[in-house]
Amino acid sequence: MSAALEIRGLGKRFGSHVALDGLELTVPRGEFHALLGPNGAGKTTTLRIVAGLTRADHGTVRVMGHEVGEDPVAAKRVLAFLPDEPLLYGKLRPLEYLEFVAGLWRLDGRLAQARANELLETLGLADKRRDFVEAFSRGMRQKLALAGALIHDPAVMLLDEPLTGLDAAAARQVKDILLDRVRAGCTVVLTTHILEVAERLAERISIVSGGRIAAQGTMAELRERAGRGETLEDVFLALTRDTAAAS
Amino acid sequence: MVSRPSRRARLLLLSRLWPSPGSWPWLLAHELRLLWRTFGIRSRFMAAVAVLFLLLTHAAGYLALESRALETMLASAPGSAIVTTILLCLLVLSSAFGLAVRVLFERGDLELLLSSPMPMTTVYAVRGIAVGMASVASMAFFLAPLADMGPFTGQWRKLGAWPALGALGLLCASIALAVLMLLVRWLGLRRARVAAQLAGAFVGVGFVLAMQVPNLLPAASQAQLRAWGAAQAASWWFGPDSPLLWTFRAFMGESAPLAGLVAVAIASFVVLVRTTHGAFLRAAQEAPQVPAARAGRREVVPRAFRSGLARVVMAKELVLVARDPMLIAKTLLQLLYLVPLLLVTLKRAQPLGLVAAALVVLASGLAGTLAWITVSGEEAPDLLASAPVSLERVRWLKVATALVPVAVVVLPFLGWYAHLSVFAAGVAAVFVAAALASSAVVQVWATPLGGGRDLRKRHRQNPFVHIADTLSSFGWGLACYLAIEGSPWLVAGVLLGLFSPAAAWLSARRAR
Repeated sequence: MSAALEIRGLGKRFGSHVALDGLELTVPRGEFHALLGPNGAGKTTTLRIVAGLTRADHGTVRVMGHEVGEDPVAAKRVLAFLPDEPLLYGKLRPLEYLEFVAGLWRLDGRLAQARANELLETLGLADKRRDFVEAFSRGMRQKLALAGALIHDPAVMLLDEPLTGLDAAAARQVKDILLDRVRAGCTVVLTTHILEVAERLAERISIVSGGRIAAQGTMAELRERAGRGETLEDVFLALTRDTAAAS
Repeated sequence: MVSRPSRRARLLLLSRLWPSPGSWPWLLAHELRLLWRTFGIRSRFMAAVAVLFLLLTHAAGYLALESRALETMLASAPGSAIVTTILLCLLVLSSAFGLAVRVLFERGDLELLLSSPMPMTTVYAVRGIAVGMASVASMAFFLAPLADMGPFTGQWRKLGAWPALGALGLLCASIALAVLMLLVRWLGLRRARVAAQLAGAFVGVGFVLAMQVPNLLPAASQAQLRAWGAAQAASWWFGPDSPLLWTFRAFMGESAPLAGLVAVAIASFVVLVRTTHGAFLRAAQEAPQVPAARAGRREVVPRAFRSGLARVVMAKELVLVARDPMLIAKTLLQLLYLVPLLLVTLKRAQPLGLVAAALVVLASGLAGTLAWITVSGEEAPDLLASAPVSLERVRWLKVATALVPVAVVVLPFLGWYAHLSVFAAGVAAVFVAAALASSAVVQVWATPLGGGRDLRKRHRQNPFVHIADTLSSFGWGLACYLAIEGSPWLVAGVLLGLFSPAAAWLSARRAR
């Protein structure tokens, strides 16, 4: 059985800046995987390439066995991408937005409606169904975007900084939903600056630095590799400093 | 021998002349810098084009001053001078309305200024001055040659056009801001915004429309109106000494009218700032919350979800267009600007071909705007790009949706037209379809998805294609007219009409 996500030799330049330099990553099915790294390390670029939003200069990406470059539609059908600043339609109501997203993934109307109502209930947005999205707070927007990402029951979810700007209650809610998805067999790959989130949620962590994977493994494996420090912050700083020094 | 000041001394002098941070001249300098940058002269090529344009207009200005064209107009055709002045003043006022709305609702830095220790009166006054200057900026391009060439023709007073221009801008800014504040008080912030923008647009086009009203009157009434006009032309009000000419005279640099205009402008501005700065502060504090607080509280009737890509994309686009009052207002105003053309063509000896041509141009312009909004104004391009659908198909669906309202507007006209001539209506329908197809292709091939929905910036996105699109609209209109007239030259119109699809295709190919 193929991995949920296989990335081989991924490279991307923006002018003279090398964003990705032969990045390699394999995420097995049903894993909660976190991408950590300093600003500009290439985390978001990686996710955008996997989601088909940015074209790689070289390398291959496979999602559930579908090569993104060759069959993007098949890859996107099983994928959901949640950007760090989800852009929604201000003049649509939540159910109208979810109806539109479901239409993009060609879901049957009745099934989509049932799921949309359920997601709004779960995410605590049911009483906001009459409001336009433009009236939503940042946290509510993030939750609605997450509902959009979940409505087609994706096999792989890519989330770019999904907890940024959320209050404690909303962050807990999102974390619980993501863990539920993983328990149900979904693969979740997220980027985060909050090391505690990666430490607590992720089964494995990849540390991205200079457009490459600097280190990868479970929390225990990373600690062992770094050879010093107790917290993920210590490990993270040690590994990214080592990579920066090597390059 | 006098020694030259050192570089350090010169810099010190310059820094002393530069207004101190936090003062109102400093804030004004900041506003003017932003204003200058809106002209978009960023490359040497653009700067060279601007210089060439100014040289040519200054040469024309020199010739006009040498021939004493303004004095001749004032003496022999004072009525024309009055009409020209009123028209220019209304255009400046129209511009001031749009800018005043932007000052209150669209400038992101207002929150920064509100949170700073700068007095609100200063912020308001400087914003008002900036509105005044920006509203006459375009006019300055055309007035500068007449003012600047004055000294070269021995007419030093013509330099008075500069303070007159500033005063006119300040006066129009005062009127626009005063009306905006009244609208906010009477209608509330959200409605005031739309109302002020509509008022500005109607002020601009209203005078032109009013000038066309006599053309619509029956022949007998037109004769009566002409007789009344001739009698009025001989009266003092429309003679060379009319007070209606004071603004014109101020622009010519005559001392008393110039001093009067400047005094009235300053006085009205001071009164405005003193009486409405509190209202401005309250409006500015509430402005960012308005759409969120007021929108969407209506009861929603539950209905079944639609299935299928085409249905959901088209439904979503129509809902978003219908919920954007600003877009509807701006689109309808585009139609309004074409009404004078329609009125003129209606009164000609052979109106059928011209009316059909106007209809084609109108439909093409409307289709272009709406289709551009649906493609460029896409709010979630990443969502579409990450969905398992063909982006090209989504673009076609968006553009097809944009053509629905155009068809709704155009079909009744075509029906009325068929009542007059079935042949002409058939030809018009063919060229309307060609023009719509042309507009659609341009938006699908050459407009970036999610590039922004600010209509004012549309021409900057792809200037070559935008100009080609405008020319093509007129090309299809011309072809329609020539086809109805039975002229073989319609081929030239068709070729011009095909210009924009060709430009879009080239642009898309280059982008790949």
